[in-house]
Amino acid sequence: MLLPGRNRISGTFDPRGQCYLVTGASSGIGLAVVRILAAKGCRVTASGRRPSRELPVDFPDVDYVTLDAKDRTGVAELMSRVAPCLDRAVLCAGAGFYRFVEAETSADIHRVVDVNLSSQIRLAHRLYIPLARNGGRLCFIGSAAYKGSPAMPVYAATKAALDGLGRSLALEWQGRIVVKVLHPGPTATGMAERAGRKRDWLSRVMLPPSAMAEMIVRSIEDGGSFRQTLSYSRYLMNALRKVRS
Amino acid sequence: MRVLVTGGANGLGRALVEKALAAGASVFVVDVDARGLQQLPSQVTRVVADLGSEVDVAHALACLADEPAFDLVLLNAGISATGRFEEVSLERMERVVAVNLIASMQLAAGLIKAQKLARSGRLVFVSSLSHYVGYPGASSYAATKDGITVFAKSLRRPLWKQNGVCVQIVAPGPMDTAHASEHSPRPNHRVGRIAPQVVAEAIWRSRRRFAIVPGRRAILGALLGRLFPRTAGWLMRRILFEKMLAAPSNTLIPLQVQPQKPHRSP
Ligand SMILES: NC(=O)c1ccc[n+]([C@@H]2O[C@H](COP(=O)([O-])OP(=O)(O)OC[C@H]3O[C@@H](n4cnc5c(N)ncnc54)[C@H](OP(=O)(O)O)[C@@H]3O)[C@@H](O)[C@H]2O)c1
Repeated sequence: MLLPGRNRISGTFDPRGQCYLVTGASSGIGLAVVRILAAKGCRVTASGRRPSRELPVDFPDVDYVTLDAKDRTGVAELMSRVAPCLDRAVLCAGAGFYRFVEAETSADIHRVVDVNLSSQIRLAHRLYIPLARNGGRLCFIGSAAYKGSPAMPVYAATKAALDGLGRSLALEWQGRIVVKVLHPGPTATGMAERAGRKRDWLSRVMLPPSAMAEMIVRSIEDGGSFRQTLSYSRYLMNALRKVRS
Repeated sequence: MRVLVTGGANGLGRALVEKALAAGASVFVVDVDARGLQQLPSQVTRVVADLGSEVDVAHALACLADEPAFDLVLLNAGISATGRFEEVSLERMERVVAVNLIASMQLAAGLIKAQKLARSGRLVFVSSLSHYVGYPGASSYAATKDGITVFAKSLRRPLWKQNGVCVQIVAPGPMDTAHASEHSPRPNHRVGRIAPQVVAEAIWRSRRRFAIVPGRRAILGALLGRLFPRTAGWLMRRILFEKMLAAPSNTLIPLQVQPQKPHRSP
């Protein structure tokens, strides 16, 4: 009996020389993921919303495609730039507002669902063929807020939806593509401030993006459940392991 | 007592409308199905709106602006898309997201902002048993139902504290409605389906608990999903997804081209 999540496509995986797609790569966690992969010598197609001239000056030397989540036709352009040997897709693009429901507007609700859910559906739909061909892995980046949060109900809902999408897709694609939803805890990328959260004590103890990216790159290759929360406990365990060895 | 129901012309929404009318409530219904709306008893106030359209959601909210607050709001309008994820059209899946998730959140936020929820009233979102067990073969639908459930969970405490409003979800399993049968691997198989009237009754009665899971089968399913998520997922794949794929293809293909008929959530 084959239980979901305990994938058949296992064995050891060496990221060197593999092809990755990373979205949300122009900033924060996605950027940190690209840095790790580029340093390992992987072939990376990166995408973000901003034009390439606005990328950080030390952006790694990888192919970059500008794509706004609401741009439905741009996805085809991105897919044409993705290597046919695609092994891993890490979808980090995301956004939201840190605000109570009374402060929400219809336009913003639409926008946040579009970035965090609809555009992920559009990408997954098109990634099926290349990933299935190579027995690849698809990794959505959710958030530890996926269980609910009064201070950001819409954002939490979209991340829960992404979790639900991943859970059912993992079952549908079992044996063809491994689907993962990784839920980062608070990470110091500036996203929280951009979302409207005031700086406080938490801002000072947020996880470093490089450490989060490291956990993500490693977790993509894990067996086990489709869902993993990557937060302080995982971070401390890793730190402990490093000190020991 | 004042009741607002979206998707109230058929299925579960209709059953709740009838329940409310029988209890002497005044009822307001929003639905895309103009003909279905006409068949409701004359005392029902109605608005035709396609909740998959941004303009229509705004129109529905505008129509509600002059209404006094509601004691019970059931955000029930929902559609599904079944089949292999990679074969279901993107248009259809985006519409599922628009109706089930975007419109529900927009309506809830709009009603809250305009103070259309009466003190000690109830705001009920129609989720699905899929929230507990997953739904391979309807991944986009399952996504929206998880989304709306967590949206409700996020609102529960603040609304209770500020306005004494009780936010709830209802998670029915397969119902004996046109919607549910259409997306079933065995469309004419009615055994084990719960009648929408029974679900409406459960909604009417359960005034406090967060998750209303109607019927013994659904409760068992939810428990299984909670305690043994992997086994539940494996079972859903075996009894639903694989049967769906094995079913004659004519039960799958029409979903991609069908006109946008209103369906009610299972
Ligand atoms: N930081 C945290 O504490 C935290 C915690 C949990 C989960 N997450 C999740 O992790 C992911 C990355 O977050 P982050 O902290 O790295 O945030 P970030 O620094 O703000 O980066 C977000 C990335 O998404 C892209 N993006 C935003 N809106 C877009 C749109 N409409 N179309 C296309 N791309 C868009 C951005 O592109 P541009 O910058 O070029 O506009 C950027 O590359 C997100 O999904 C976020 O929800 C973050």
